[in-house]
Amino acid sequence: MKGTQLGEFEELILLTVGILFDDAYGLAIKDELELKTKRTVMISSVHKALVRLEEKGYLKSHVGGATERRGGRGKRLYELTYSGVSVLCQTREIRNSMWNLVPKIVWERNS
Amino acid sequence: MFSSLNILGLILGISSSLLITLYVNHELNFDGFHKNGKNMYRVVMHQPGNQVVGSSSEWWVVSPAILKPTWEEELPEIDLATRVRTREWTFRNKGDFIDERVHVVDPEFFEIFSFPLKSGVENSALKNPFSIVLSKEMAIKYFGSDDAIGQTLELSNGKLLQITGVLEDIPANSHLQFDFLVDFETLQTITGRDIISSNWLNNPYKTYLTLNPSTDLEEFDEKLRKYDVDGFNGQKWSFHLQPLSDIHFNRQISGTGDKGTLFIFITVGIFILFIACFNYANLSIAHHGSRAKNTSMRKIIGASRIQLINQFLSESFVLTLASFALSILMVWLGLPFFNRFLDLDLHFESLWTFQVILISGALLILMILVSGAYPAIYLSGLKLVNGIKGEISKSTNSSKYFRRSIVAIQFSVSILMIIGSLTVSRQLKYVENKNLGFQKEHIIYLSVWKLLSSGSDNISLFKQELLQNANIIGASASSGVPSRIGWSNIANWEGKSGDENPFFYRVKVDHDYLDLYGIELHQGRNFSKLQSSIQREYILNQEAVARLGFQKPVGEKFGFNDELGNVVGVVKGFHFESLHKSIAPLGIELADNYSFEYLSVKLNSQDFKKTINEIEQVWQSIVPDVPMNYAFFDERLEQLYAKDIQLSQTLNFYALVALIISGLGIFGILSLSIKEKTKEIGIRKILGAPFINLLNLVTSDIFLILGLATIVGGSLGWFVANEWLNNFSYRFEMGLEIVALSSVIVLFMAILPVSYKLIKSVRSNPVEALKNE
Repeated sequence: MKGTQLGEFEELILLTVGILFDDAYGLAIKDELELKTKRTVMISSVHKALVRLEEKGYLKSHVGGATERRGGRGKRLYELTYSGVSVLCQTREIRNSMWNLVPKIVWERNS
Repeated sequence: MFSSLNILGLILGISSSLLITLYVNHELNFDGFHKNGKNMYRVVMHQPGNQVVGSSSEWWVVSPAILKPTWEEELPEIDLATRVRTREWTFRNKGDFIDERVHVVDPEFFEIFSFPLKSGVENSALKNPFSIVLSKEMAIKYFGSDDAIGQTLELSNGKLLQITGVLEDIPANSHLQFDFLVDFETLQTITGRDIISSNWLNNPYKTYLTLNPSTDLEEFDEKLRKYDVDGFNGQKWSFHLQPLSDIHFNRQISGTGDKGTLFIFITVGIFILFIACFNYANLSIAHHGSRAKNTSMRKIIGASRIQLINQFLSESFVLTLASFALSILMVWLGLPFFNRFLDLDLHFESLWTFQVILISGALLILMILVSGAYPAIYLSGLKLVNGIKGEISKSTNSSKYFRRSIVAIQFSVSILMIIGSLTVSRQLKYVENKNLGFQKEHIIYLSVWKLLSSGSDNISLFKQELLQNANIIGASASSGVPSRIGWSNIANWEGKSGDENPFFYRVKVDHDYLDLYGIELHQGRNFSKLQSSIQREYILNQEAVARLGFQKPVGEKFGFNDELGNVVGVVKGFHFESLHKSIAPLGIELADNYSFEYLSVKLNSQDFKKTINEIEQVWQSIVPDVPMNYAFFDERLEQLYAKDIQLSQTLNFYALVALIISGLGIFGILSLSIKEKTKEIGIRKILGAPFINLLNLVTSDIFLILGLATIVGGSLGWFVANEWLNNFSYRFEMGLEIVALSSVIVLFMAILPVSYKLIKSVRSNPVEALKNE
């Protein structure tokens, strides 16, 4: 597995791209993230993470819409790749297995 | 004989002008068919500091989803509003998958715009989710007939949409063109989540609205300042309203209309009409002149002046009316060819508008008067003796002067138009032959990002598979192909100061890109073949190097945004945009699989179809349900100049028309001249004069007039042609030879037919000529 070190922010970005399905571009991703995590997200962090994740092979992008507009500045849309999906699943597996290992008493004691 | 020449010229002139009128009408009435038109506006955003590379416009047609509900609530001046968004969906059509562009709209869409439905009810067509309205063409494409109500369309993900309406043909002069309409509800249901964001910078929507007619626009714009947002670079971005009528011609805000071209067309139309009318007047006067005998006889018999005037007027009335009628017939017959020739979609019915009828009526009256009244009054008042002697056509100096100036104008206009026609043709030839810095033949390009849906290595797999094909010389993946490199980012380099943020064009390519397109390196080398080099590699173009001030670019550090890599090479003269624009700075970057949009494929054999089929088979084996989209590179390149080609063909056509009309006119006048001088010609021939001498006799005036016309028409033409050529950053050197050539062409056109006539009359027996006294 290449670089399964997925930072928390990166994981959130991958999940958001998944949620947004065929409409995952910079600002939409930022909005959805803010909505779900209830924290302010800087658009520049989103873009940096997107580029990083694409290089790692977890995302692929293309420019949406034909370039009939002047200048051709269509939006760059992101999608999860197979690796992207697998790394998300793996991360979830690891988390879930660890959750299951925490003895009940910890939850009861702190609730 | 005169009558037929006259009518022919007139018909040609009127029909040509009518055709132009149709075109002008088409352009000027763009979007004019909406009944709410006067109160319709489009929301646009002014984003200072956010321009496309190489453009100066800071205007964008964007708005956030939340704008509509917010404005509807807070701004009472707004009557109705709708958002429009385009999405790309894949439909299933009998086993094939086809990508289509779908327009997503609010329910108010049909209330604001006048896009009638052929079947279905506008107000309720999109009420229920999963309803879809489509155009007649699409109905036929998917269901075989335009009676598709109630049928279902299947999306590639299995969801079904019900057809609730079929659109009437959308006029060609509508800036909004679409094939499919769905409601936002439907989009939300299909994507399964709430897509409306409340972020004012998240703006993939267009918003159209109607205002209360009594709204003061300036005041309203002031109110919109409340919604200004902070843009990305600390600038204030603001919303404004653009009237519907401004959309087509406002090139700063994505308009496609060109007032310059329209102006040329209008001028051409007027010129042609001018020539035709002048011709008509000239020939009529000359014609009547030659019937002076007839007129005088009548007077002797006892016809009153009024009666004579009546006679002339009614004759010209009939003639003119007949010409008009025939012209309209010609237009009706010729319109399909005209449309195909110029790639337009004009309708005959558009002729019957108030303005056109009014102008035509006025023209008709004017022409009847000119051709009927002038000779009528002049001739009927003539001294009887002169009339009988047939000396009328030896006319007074003033009428001769009048005729000469008309001919001069005709010549000038013809020369002007030929210059225009030659200039555009020459420039197109220049464009075709110019070395663009890359090869364009035998290359197709495919959109390949969809290959990644079933495997991250698919693009290189696809490429390797294709290279096995003996008929495929090369393949290269990239994020853009020449003429389609829309991507730009902020350039980064060593020594960059904080407040410099220039945008450079950016294209990601593989190792084979430069080779496939035959792009030559001016300095340095192509990308290294080392798998994933530690540092990124870039190849810059000369303009980027100049902008960065690099003395020795190879080895310098460069990158986009926050990155820095090595510059390994420089290219020069790489025209990746049309020749209208000067070359903008570009950074070519070596990249791997991701961010590749296209695969360019260079083909070997002549049998492209076969090879393309083979490519498609490989495609299907990797992604069976996905449509393969490809295009021929050289064809797409040519589209960059579509408007210029259209202009060229129009000018060629009308220059020819102008020549013919003028030719007919000159022919008529000179024939008259020959007739007048029949005696003189006869005598000179007997005395042994050579042909040239005789020709000179008849045409001596013409040379003088032509000379004058060359100066007038030539300088005007030169000026206009240069103005037009300024549209291009790269153009051919225009020399005076174009003016000279035009002049010669016109001369030819004038002399040739007359010489023929002269020869005939000279061959005839001079005795006959002398007898005519």
